Amino acid sequence: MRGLLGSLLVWLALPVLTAQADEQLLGYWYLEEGAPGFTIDDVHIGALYADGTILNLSSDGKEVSSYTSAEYSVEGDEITFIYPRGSDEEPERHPYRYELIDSDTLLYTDEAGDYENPEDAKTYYRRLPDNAHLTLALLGLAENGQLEEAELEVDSDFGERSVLVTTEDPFAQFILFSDRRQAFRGQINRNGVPVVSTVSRHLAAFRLGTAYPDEAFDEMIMIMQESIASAQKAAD
Amino acid sequence: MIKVKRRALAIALCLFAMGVSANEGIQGAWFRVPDGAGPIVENAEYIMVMRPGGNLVEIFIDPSNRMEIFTESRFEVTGKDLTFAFPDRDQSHHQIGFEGEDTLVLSSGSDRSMEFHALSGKSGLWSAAVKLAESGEVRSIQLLNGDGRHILGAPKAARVYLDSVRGSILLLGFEGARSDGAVTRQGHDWVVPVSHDVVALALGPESFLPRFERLVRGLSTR
Repeated sequence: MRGLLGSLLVWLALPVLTAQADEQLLGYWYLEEGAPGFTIDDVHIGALYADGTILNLSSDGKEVSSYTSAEYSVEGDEITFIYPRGSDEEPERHPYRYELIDSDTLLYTDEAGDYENPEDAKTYYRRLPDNAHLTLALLGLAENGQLEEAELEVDSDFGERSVLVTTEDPFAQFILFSDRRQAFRGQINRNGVPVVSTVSRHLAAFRLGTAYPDEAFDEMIMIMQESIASAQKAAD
Repeated sequence: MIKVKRRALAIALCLFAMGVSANEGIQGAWFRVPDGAGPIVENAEYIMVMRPGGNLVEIFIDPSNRMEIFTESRFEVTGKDLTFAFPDRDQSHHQIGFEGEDTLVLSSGSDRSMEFHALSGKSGLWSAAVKLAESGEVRSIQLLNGDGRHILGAPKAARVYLDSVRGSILLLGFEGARSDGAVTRQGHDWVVPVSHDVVALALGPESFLPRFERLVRGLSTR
């Protein structure tokens, strides 16, 4: 339910804000650091929402963590990232000039900083590809406040990538199996309740533990499916 | 009709000639526990599967719960006499006795007799592991979660290593729970129930999946 509600709020907010913010800015952007092409192994993702909030998702190849308290505001070609500090302190503000090089490339330039090489003031972000199902699933969970911990294993026994996800409820753990080269299908039930579900054709979820409430797992699957589906819709 | 009868006759003759049919009660899986241990399969140190046709599948279980599997030995029954033929040891001869249906007692001359217990087909993970071992394609099986940790939510689990390194099988035992359904990968079985409370998962590349499929389908139809 929460997932549905979350997206509904975003949709409602959308028409109001597009007047001010550049609609093309909205969505998921990743900082390409290593080899070209997206993987979740070593990456920073910034999600810009229509209501002015930001979600950051970072991965160091072992752990994926999210940060949700930041906001942004746009004025002309300037974007300012606002990070809250203590309750009686002014938030930190980081202004950048932004430029959409093309629909999939976003350039931030730090004009306030003093750089010997002007290129160092520039940071390029790329739009998250819509087939990054694992990342989209984790973003969906984070957006719904459900990503407490995510341990990533690359090239594990279980395939290309697996992630042990701990949600808000510490008993509600599941493992995501991701393989972009493989198509998953089907479901396994235990005593009539789903325990292994395919989230998408490249992503399967394996519920852990027995203390896990049945509806909670279904809800997580729905949140992840929705997140993947809406990225697909946006790309079409 | 006539064809079928002839065939049945042929099989009967064949079995008689091999002496195996003499004691069908001995066919199946039997386990041995160390002296003083309770007669439950969790305590087993040795399991032998006496297959129709005289094939003996031997499973040795070490203290770290690793099962080593040997399929080269044979057995032969004549009346109450049982003979084991091992490729690397001398033959051994025994007298067959039963205590009830579930306990097999093998005695040989002056030696102490050996007691074996029948492995029930309802022994969940153990039955599945032993049936896989019978395929002759399994090198070893490691029983997991002796430390109390659940593997993929399963209270009992075992990893089955095959005679090639291209893939292995994870068996997950959910006692008392009934699993159904299947998850496929590239159209091949990937996670499937192999008995009412055991689920098997293929660990390995896509090229391993057809072999996994064949092995686990053999389990559920037997």
